[in-house]
Amino acid sequence: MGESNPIRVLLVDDHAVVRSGLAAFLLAFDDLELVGEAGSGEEAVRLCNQLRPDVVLMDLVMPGMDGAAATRTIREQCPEIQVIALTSFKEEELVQGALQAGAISYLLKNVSADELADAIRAAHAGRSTLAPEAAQALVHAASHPPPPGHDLTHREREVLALMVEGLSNREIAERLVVSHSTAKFHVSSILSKLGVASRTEAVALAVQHRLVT
Amino acid sequence: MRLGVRWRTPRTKIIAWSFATTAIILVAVALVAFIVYQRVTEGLVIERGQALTRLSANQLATELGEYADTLAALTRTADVHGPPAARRIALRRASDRLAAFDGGVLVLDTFGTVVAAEPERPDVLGQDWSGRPYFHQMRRAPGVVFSDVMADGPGGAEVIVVAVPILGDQGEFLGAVVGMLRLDATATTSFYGDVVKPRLGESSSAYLVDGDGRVITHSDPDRIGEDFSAQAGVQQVLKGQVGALRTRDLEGRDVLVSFAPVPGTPWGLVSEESWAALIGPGGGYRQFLLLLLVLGVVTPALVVAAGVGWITKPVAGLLGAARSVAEEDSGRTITAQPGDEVAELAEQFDLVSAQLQASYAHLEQKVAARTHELSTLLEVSRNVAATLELEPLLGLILDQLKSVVDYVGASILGLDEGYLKVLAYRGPIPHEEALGLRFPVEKAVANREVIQRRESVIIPDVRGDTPLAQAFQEMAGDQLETTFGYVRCWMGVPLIVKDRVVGMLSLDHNEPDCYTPQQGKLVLAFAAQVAVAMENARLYAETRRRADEIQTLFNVQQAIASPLEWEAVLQLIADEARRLTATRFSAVFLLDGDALRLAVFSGDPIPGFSVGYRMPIDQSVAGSSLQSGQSIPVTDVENDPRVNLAANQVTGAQSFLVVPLLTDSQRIGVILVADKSAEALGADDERVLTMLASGAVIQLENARLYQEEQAQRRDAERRRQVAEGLRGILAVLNSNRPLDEILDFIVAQAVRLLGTDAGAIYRLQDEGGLLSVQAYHGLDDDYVTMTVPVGKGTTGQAVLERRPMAVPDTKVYLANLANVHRAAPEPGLRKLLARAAHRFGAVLSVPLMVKDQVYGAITLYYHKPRAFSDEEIELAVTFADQAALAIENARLRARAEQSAVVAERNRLARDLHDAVTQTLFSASLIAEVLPRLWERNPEEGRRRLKELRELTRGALAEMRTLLLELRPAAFVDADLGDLLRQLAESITGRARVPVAVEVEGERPFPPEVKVALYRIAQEALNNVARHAGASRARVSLRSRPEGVKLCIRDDGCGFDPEGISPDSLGLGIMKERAETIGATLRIESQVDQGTQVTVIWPLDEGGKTDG
Repeated sequence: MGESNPIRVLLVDDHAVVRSGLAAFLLAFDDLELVGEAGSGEEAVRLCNQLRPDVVLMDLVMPGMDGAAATRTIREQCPEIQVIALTSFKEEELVQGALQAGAISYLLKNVSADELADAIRAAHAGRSTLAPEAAQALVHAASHPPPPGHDLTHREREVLALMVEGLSNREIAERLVVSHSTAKFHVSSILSKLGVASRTEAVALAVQHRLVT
Repeated sequence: MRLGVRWRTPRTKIIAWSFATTAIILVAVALVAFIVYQRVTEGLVIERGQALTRLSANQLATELGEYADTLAALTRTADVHGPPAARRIALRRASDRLAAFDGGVLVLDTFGTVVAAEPERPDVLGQDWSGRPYFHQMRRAPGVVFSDVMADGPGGAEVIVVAVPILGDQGEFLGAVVGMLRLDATATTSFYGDVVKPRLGESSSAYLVDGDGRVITHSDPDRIGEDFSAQAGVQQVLKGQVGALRTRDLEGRDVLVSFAPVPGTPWGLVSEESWAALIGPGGGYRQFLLLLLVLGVVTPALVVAAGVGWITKPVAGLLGAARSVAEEDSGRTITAQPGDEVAELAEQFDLVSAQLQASYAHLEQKVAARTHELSTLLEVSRNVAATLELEPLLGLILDQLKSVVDYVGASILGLDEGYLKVLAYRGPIPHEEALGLRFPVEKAVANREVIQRRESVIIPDVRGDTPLAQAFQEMAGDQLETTFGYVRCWMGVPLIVKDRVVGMLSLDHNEPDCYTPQQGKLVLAFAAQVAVAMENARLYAETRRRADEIQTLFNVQQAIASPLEWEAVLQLIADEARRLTATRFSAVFLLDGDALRLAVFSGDPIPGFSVGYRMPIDQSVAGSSLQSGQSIPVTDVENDPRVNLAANQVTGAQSFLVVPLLTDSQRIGVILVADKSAEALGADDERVLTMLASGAVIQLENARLYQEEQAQRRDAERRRQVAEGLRGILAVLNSNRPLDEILDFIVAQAVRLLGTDAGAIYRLQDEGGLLSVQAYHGLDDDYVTMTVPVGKGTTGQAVLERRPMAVPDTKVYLANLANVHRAAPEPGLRKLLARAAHRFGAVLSVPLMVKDQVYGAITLYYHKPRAFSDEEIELAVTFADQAALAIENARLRARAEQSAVVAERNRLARDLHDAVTQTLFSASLIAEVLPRLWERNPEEGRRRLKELRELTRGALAEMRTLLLELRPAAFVDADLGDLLRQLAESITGRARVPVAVEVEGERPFPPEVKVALYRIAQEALNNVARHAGASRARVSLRSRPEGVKLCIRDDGCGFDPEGISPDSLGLGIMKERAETIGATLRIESQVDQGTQVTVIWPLDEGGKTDG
């Protein structure tokens, strides 16, 4: 950690207040240097190309181009830049999304200054740092039961909508210009996918879970 | 006949061939002769001209010689040799002789000097003329010289010169005497008189030219002196040639130019003669020649034509006659000279012609006869077609036949069961007697022959001894001499229709041998007409009968098709059956269990035999008929064992006919008729009855089908209504209508579609297991206020047992309740049930269930007791399902709405929480590094400390805001100014944008107004923080008596209001919020000009609501 070669850091956050705090934080460490601030994903991509920072501190939830998308673009265009996701959210999709996009580390906005500084140094060295909550979320990414009707095809959703309208199989066939047996097949497929026994139940479920619009 | 030449006739051909050769030869000869003549004439004319001209030239030379001689005589006088004076004197003396020289005479000396002149010409005296050509010539060869034209005359006039040398004794040249002849002189001079001589006539002209081609003399004096050297004749003559040629003169006329040089001079004589004038005398011959030519053509033509005409005349006659014959003018004869082949031909022709005429005459006769026969036959057939009354028609046919085939007696006989009956008669036998005659076919051999042979049979003489004649005699028997006494010749012709012999036509005559086979054939044709007439009459009668039947059938069918009740139709059928069969009564029995039941009766009423009368199947003819499917006629009631005695005793029928009523698969009954008035029931009656039976069957089938169809249609209609009703319910279910409305709709539909008198949906109340009416139709208001405990009453039971409960009769039910569960219903409920039972006879209740959960029940009430079909119960269950679904949906929707409210609140809180997190994160970072910063740079440290302070204040403000969100009630107490300040602080902290707040005036707001204004400010400031990129913002709230104005303004990037959808940036939500409190919202912005959001809440309106 020679003074002559500080780690160049780019801040990306749509909250000015966060950028301001992070700027103050970087000032306190000799081996970290603030090279730029970006308020959006698009700006981040542009500044990365322009400034070639060593490490990017990337907020994830931003209007417009979000952090994950910006990370992916940056990693594609400048693979040598390491991206640290720094966010206040620990939802499993966000964690997975950020890591899949190419972020090396995932930190929450409850991290202390020293921890953050260490994480930046580690990222620069190619080592990953994960907030415990993020690790937890990854582990928990086991199985979440999918909502009913998630596996309905587009056609089945159409048929279901007509069932909700109260049409019979024959009328559904006429409306969709398909054969009666096809309509019947769709209906029975819908019943089995929704795990219900009757049309009435299917309609109730459809209304309950807003499967049709 | 065609006028003009007929090129193809042999005559024309002969003429043409013989005449053409003759004419060609003649024309050739004439042409050759004409050409030769022309040539010879021309040659002669040219030679003549040539000779004449040469003659004239010679004559001229001779005459010129005389002029020279005159001068020569002078030279011989001594004086001319002498001195000049003497010469002059000598000249003068000779002047008389020299008078012919009108240009004067000169004397030249040896040197060519003019030494004397007569008359005197002082102008030329002494001149040297030695250069003159004639002088030169004379010097070279002394002799007479005639000169060309030169201008040496007196006064320069043009002259020709005749010069004669003056010779000495030894012939030496001593000079010359020159005589001049003037060119322009007139004919008065002798010279011209001589020269003009050769003129041949008016048509010709002659002229003399000198050696240069100039005209010396000319028959036309005007031309004298002109230069003709260019003319052909002149050129040739100047070369010394003699000749003649045919050419064109100056005027272009056709002329013969003859020319000859004048001997002794350089001159030439040329004469021109008109060619026409020369040839003219020969013209007569030419015309004669042409005339001969024409005669040569015409004469043979005429001769040939006449000859050929004479030869071919008989042929033409033959042709004409043949043509006439061909045009049916037969009998023409032709005359021709005998001994000729043509004559022979003509004779033959005459023969043929006569034969033709004869055969024509015969043919015409035959045709006339045939025409008469045919027209008669035609008339007969017309009559046959026109009338259906047989008797008069047959008589008419016989009358007409007589005009074709003569007869004395004629009869038409119809074949009827082995007898020939006379249908019509004409003849000597009295009419009545004749019409009564009948001949057994078997016995009348002649008649039998006719019928068996199917052709005309002629007995030439009935008194003869041929087998047929004897048969006739036999048949006539006694009447041979009386009735049939007149008959000698007889002819019989069969009447045949469609290969069937229906009768016979017979003719007789009192003369033997008067019928020929031809006549037989003719009569056969008439017989065919007679047969047709008889057949027509028969068909007509049958048709009339059929028509009656068909009309009946039609009536029956019409009745079947009409909306009449089936009994009425059967009655009609029975009536018609009785009428058509002419029976006493008719009846229709229908199968009813094991008996036949009398359904319809037609006829005079029979006591004890009325509608409803039953007859056992196995002991009646009707039953047998029904079982066998066969019609059964009963002719002998007394002795027929099948007859049902009991029935027969009642009806007293003597005979009857039974026809079964059968469909393809079913036995329905029988129709019967009894006691035909006149005769026995026959095949016709059976046919009629069978026909009517089928009508009856159709009617009965129709009635059955109609009933079935009506039932099916009712059923289908009900199903359709049910389906539609259900669909309507589903549509209502999926609408966002309130639950009560949906349930009302469902119960109304159920009542309508199930045909009940009233209905109600009971809902299980959450607590206590009580059912209360949620929706109803057709019930009294006080009735529906009651609650029913689960397990009690029909509805309670249905809910408890989770299955449909049907009460077909409420009174029975109530009685059972009283007996079995005496204590069960509470008094109030009991009263209610009693009341219900009093009002309604039947009740059906079905529980409302979704996924094993019971929501209540739908109960349907009927005024009268009734049984419930499975289908009805099923339908009620369907309605119950719908109602349950509606309730479940409503529940779900309510839950979803509730959760939506919660979610919205959670979202806000999360947003705020997130914002606070950001601020606090930032603050904590700064706080953490602050000591280190202060060490390095106190100035920076102070700046960051201030920032830290702002951040914590902002965080505090946000936390308060968050509290507000989580506990909306806090709004009610808070002051709007404070709320706005708090909002501004939080934004300042979060967005690092200073937000100033101005509050002017103070007043209380209704909570909803406060919330709305706060939310608008919040949304606007959020936009500032997120999108504006502003360096500062300002919030102002002004309360005035007339209203409240809230304004949020920033100096950020702004936006184009046109290019942005109202939903983005939360603009739509802001507008909605403003509208709910009756405020107006205005958003003004431009790109790079910042944004200003203004809300104006009019106080007068708001004030009132505020109170």
